[in-house]
Amino acid sequence: MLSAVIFTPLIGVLILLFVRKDNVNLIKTLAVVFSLVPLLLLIALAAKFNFAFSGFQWQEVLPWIPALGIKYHLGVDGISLPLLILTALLSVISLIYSWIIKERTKEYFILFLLLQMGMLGVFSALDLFLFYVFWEISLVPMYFLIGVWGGARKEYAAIKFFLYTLLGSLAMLLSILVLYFNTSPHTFDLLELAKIADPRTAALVFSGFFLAFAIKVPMFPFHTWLPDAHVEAPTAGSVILAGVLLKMGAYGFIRFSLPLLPEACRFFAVPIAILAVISIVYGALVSLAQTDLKKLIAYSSVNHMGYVMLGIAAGMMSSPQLAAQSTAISGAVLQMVSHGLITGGLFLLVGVIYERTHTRQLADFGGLGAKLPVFAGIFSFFAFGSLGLPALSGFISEFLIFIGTFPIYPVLTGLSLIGVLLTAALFLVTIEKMLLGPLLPKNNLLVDVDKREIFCLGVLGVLVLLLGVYPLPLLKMMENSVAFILGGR
Amino acid sequence: MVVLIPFLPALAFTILIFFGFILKEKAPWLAIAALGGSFFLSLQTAFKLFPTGREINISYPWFSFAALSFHVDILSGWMLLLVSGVGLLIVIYSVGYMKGDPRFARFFAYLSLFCAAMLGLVLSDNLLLMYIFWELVGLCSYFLIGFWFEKPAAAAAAKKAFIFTRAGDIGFFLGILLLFLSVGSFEFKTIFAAAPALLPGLLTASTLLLFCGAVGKSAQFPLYVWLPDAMEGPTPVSALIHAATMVTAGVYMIARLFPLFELAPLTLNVVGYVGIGTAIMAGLIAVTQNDIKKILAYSTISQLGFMMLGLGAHSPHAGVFHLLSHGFFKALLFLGAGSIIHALHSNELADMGGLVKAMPVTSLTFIVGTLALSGMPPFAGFFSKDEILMAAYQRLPIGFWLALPAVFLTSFYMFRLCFKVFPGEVKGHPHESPLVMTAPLIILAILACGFGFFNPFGGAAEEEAGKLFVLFASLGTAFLGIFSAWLLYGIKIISLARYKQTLLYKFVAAKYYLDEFYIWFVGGLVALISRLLAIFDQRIIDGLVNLAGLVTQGFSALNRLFDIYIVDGCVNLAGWVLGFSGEKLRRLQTGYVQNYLLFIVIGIVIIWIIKFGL
Repeated sequence: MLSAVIFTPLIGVLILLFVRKDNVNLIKTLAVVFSLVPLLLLIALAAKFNFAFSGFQWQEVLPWIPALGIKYHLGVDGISLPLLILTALLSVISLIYSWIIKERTKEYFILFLLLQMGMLGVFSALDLFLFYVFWEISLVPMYFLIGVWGGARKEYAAIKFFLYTLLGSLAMLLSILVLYFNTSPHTFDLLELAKIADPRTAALVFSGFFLAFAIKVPMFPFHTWLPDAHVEAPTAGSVILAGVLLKMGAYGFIRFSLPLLPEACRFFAVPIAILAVISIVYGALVSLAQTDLKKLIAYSSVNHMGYVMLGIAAGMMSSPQLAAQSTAISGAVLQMVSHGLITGGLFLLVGVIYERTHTRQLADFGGLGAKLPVFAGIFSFFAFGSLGLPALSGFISEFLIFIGTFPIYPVLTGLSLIGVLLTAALFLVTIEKMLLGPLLPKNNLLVDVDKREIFCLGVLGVLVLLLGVYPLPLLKMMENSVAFILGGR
Repeated sequence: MVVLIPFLPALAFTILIFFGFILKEKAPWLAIAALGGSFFLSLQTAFKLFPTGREINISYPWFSFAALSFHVDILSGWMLLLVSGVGLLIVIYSVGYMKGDPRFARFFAYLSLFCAAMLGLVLSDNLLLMYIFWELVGLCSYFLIGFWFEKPAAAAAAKKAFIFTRAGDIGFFLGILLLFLSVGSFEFKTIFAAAPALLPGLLTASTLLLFCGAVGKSAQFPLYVWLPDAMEGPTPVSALIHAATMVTAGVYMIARLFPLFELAPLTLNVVGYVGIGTAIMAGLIAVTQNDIKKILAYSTISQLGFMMLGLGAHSPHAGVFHLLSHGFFKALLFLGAGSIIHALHSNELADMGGLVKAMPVTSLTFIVGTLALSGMPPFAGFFSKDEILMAAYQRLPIGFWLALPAVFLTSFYMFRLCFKVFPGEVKGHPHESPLVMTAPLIILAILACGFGFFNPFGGAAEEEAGKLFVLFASLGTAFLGIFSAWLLYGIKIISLARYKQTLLYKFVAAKYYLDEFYIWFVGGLVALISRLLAIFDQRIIDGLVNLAGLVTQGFSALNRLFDIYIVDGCVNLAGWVLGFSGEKLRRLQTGYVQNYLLFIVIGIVIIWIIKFGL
């Protein structure tokens, strides 16, 4: 079942290879259909999800390279399933939004399906070698998406993105190999890997993972590839980048660092929490100074992912406050989903307005609320979601993170609340500059959002509201898995 | 049933925001019907509750940390009546006031949501739920203050209101976290039950943090600066914000949580003194203003300070009594001001005069509101203000003595306004407003007259020490205020114009430069830091990344040279050496047997020498 989820996009790619290049509509339709199948399958899986079971469900184990102990091992739990659904959903939305792509359509959609396959694989692989393979697979299509369909400085941004991430990947590979040789018989299987006894080795292995994941999240000071990649990436690329790729880093911390290296986690918990708080405040402050709308939202992602890392850092702590810690981790996972939906929506909106004005400079907007009321309403909705307005998903997730981390890091949590005030100021200033005030004459001929755009944004918006008002099902889904990870240490 | 009270206007909002463009002119009727329903249900609840005192508790499961729990007692019962009743009147009034606005339907959508959020806040029985509605109230005020967002001033005022109240909310939220950490629940009842066992320091800290939220929302020093700017919104919105929703939330929150605050005497002192300090500061500013809405705005801040004084003097009932009566007469005053502005298209006192002839209904009801605000018997303000002063006299004597100048200021600035606006020559071409606007004025005027007679919390009937003294002191100062205003602006026999050049006057008229402090110091500092950090990010952090890239590139260039000259050079050298030596050694291969024999002999001799020596 999981294999079908992951490899349906690949089947789509194989079929697309035989479609004529200029049959654009068929290419787009096929791509959307093949990206939709994983989403439907995952929803079906979620409906049958066993909430009482804390381990991995729907596991698939096949020997792959038996001589090296490499297995094809898949499985999901309450942490990966929400992220898988998010991935599948954002892929479909991105592909529907990408209807406007005009150049090299076939290549674009093929790469996007490959990207979807890689991401789905990352969140369901339970063999570290397999995980590494999917991790790298997701890197390559994004490199091309930025490098070919990007903006003015696309080559620079694409190479920076690729090399920076690759640097982290290599460190991770070393760590994976250490884990591999540490276990006898040698294996890459997450469920069979032994913990490392020597604290120094454990710290080194942790550092390798940390570099890979911290770059991906990204945490201060490893974040500078993000604004460049976002600004240059095509709209749908930005949506996937912010919505899914960043989550792979935070997911890695929860899936691998926490259970495999508990001692090292304890050792590094406080420094990571401090870096998280710096990311929160620093991201918001730097964002406040941006004049480019896309860059502004990119930096706000640094802020939001900071909350995720703060929650994870609380989970790493050794203090026996399991209840608070599992709240913090649940909050972090929920924040990942919520940030994917909200920031995904915001990047779509940047794309929408860029298509019409061909600029992303805040100074070129102004007073759009009078001319584009629907756009303004939707933008305000997502902006308020991003600044953590109650009744929208961002509030619940940040709230859980604060409740979970406050008993563990009271001072750091208090400091991170400054970030909440700063993001409020950030988004209100942005709304004021973009939507309020008198309309600039040059924007007099703009047309409001069309049906396709409303559909893409509407789906995300409804989910943001739903999660904000009634988060219980999702929290129930992750409850046992989070307890299992924290309790198993 | 009770849940329907906030649900009906929320439903109206949902319908109006999505289908308002179809309903257009009919949009207000939906809002009126919804709020009317809420008001009817509130009345029904009140009639069941007030005689028997039987409280209502409702709770639905929500998620792991909090339930959707609601609670109606006498306190929230009265608040429901105020919010839905005044809200309803304001919505009716808006039908006339907002006529012809291009976003007519949307205005009523926002009004409905505003009332819904406030009603939800009133009903909330746990901190988390209250915080959620609290923030939603803030959101609605943002949309309504910035309703005419094409005006940059309105857009800026909306942003200011949201950011300043949110600054207070950070404290509120921390207080909630602290309480949750120590009690393990958000439910009011659980918190009240656990509170006596908590450490005094913890109680003081958490209540002070909660009070921060009230300082923001209820516009107290030092966060009150957003409220005067909020009058950039349409006047009915100002009436709603000042009377029924938004600013009352802070006072209500403290009254609701009073069992907790009561255990923290230090916090209550802070509440009382911040309140009375704000009352004096704002009252002084109001004297210097010439914009009718600004005067009313500062008077609200000042009256909120009185309510805080009541709370600080251990009398939540006095505070909320004043909140209710103030709600009625402040709504009346704002709607009256709106009626004047609607007729004259100006906010300036200088453009007004002789209105009592031109707009009799508006003028008379406005004067009723003024008398109520000044605390004249038998109007509502007299009774409620008297209760606060009485409580202060007993529990917070310094606060009581400080309150007297604030009482004087209140009647002074209100009658200054009245003497400038109503008597004398008619200026401009004012006309009385339509019935849809004057009817709410009349109803509110009746409430402002009569509400004081039934004390909502059954005030203490027994003879209290100093009751007469307090009564005469407050009435005396209030009359003194009216009298001074009459001397200065009524018969104009005294002029204080020359004092307008003094530094003190300028300082007050400039609102103590508090706005400037926020704009230049706080705002400037944040902007500066964010600029510097952005440069730091680009030059240093990203610079390091690019440097690493450059170094790698340089290194690889070096590598290439090394490769070409050294590695490849070595290979070539080896080849060359072999070739060269081969060339040289080739000479040995002469082909003559004699030569070879000679070499063999020489070789044998050399070996012999090495082996056996000479």
